[in-house]
Amino acid sequence: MCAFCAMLSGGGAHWTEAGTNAGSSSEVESGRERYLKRLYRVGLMNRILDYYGCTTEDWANNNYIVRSRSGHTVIVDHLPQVWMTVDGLAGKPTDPLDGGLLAALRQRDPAPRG
Amino acid sequence: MGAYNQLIPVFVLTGFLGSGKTTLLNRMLRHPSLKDAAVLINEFGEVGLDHLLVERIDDNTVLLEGGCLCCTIRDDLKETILSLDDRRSRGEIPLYERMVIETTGLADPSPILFTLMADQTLRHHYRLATVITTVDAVNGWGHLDRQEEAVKQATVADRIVITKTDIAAPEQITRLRQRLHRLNPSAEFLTADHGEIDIEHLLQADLYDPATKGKEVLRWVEIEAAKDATGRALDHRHEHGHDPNRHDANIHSFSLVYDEPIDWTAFGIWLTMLLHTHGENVLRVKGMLNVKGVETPVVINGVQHVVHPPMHLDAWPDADRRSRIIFIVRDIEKRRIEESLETFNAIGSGNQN
Repeated sequence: MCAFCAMLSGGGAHWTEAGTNAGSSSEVESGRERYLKRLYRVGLMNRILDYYGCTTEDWANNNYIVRSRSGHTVIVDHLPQVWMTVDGLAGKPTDPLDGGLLAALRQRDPAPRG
Repeated sequence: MGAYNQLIPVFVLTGFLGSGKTTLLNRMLRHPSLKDAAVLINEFGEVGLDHLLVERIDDNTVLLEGGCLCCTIRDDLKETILSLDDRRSRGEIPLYERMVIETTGLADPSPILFTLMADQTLRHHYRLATVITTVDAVNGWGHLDRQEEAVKQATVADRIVITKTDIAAPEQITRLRQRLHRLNPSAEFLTADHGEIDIEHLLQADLYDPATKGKEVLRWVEIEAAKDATGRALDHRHEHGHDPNRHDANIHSFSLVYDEPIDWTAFGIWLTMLLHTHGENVLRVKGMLNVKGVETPVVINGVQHVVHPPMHLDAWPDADRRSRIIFIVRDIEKRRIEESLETFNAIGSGNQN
């Protein structure tokens, strides 16, 4: 995804942050609920970002701080921007189909394979 | 943003040159539900023709300048819609409740869909409703062979209208339909005979219309039910022996089915990452998920880099509670996507509680 696409995709609530029934006026979450969800998301993301030598954390319940091991820090709005930022910091594209990443994830937490 | 289903629905009408878009548009605009629709048509190639043939051109009709709508002026589309919106709010034009965009036949419509779905301003007022693609029964096969744009138009469609069926042989229509179905198994097919088509049906069953969204998703599910003789889930690949240089030769569709509930957070991380890296080759993702902690099915619907806001159905359409996801991809093996999603979902499961 290009920088322009990533920028356009953001702003407002990204679909990953807007709950499972986005746009529904009945689904309004409290700040605490949002925080807990983001905390959980950050935990999962860090499992993945470890493979790329990066970490992330929540910032003000609204943004993500992405850090590289060398100390570079970038504040972003949403997941597509996280991936774009990590691409740059790691010097290689983040790729969920990368066999090395999947092996690393399974090593830490063997998946129940069917 | 208000409730998604209260936004102004935008119908995108696409199809290759000469495939009958304008004829269909004329029919559509006679339907009462589009009486007050704003209509955007593109000025390219068949400029005058389009303009003259669209009968209901009025103040709401805007000819976009600058040639190809799809690949040169995404901003222009946005500005055109916002200008209409402004004039609408100032009472200079009628309060339209729907919008139709007719694309140029020569381009990939994806940038239009992207603009509608992703632009921060537009998406507060408008939502992409249905993508309707016309395919000519006589020449459509050749277009799919030779024109990548025609393939993209078919893969992004929610409805495929096969036109000119009155001058094509029945076996020709059947063969074309089978090919289109392999390309986009989630699309619904309609046929136009002398331009006659059930417009009511064409415009209904919009995924975000509360009255019909269940029907639309049920149709997807029924597609998944079309398994082969060995019971494997749908995996449409093109038969061997076809010309590998055809523009749809490397596109295939398949479905993944999961018995266990999906971790929504892990799924969101996975899908955004997949679309970030492979969005150009993940042409469509549609599905109905059984999400942990959510009692009703969650519907997802993505076109390349962008994903519609997820939505709940009011109830499961049948007794089957499995998650079912349909992918249309180019040059990506099913096995790789399956392995990846399972791994990501497992780290979510591992982290729960």
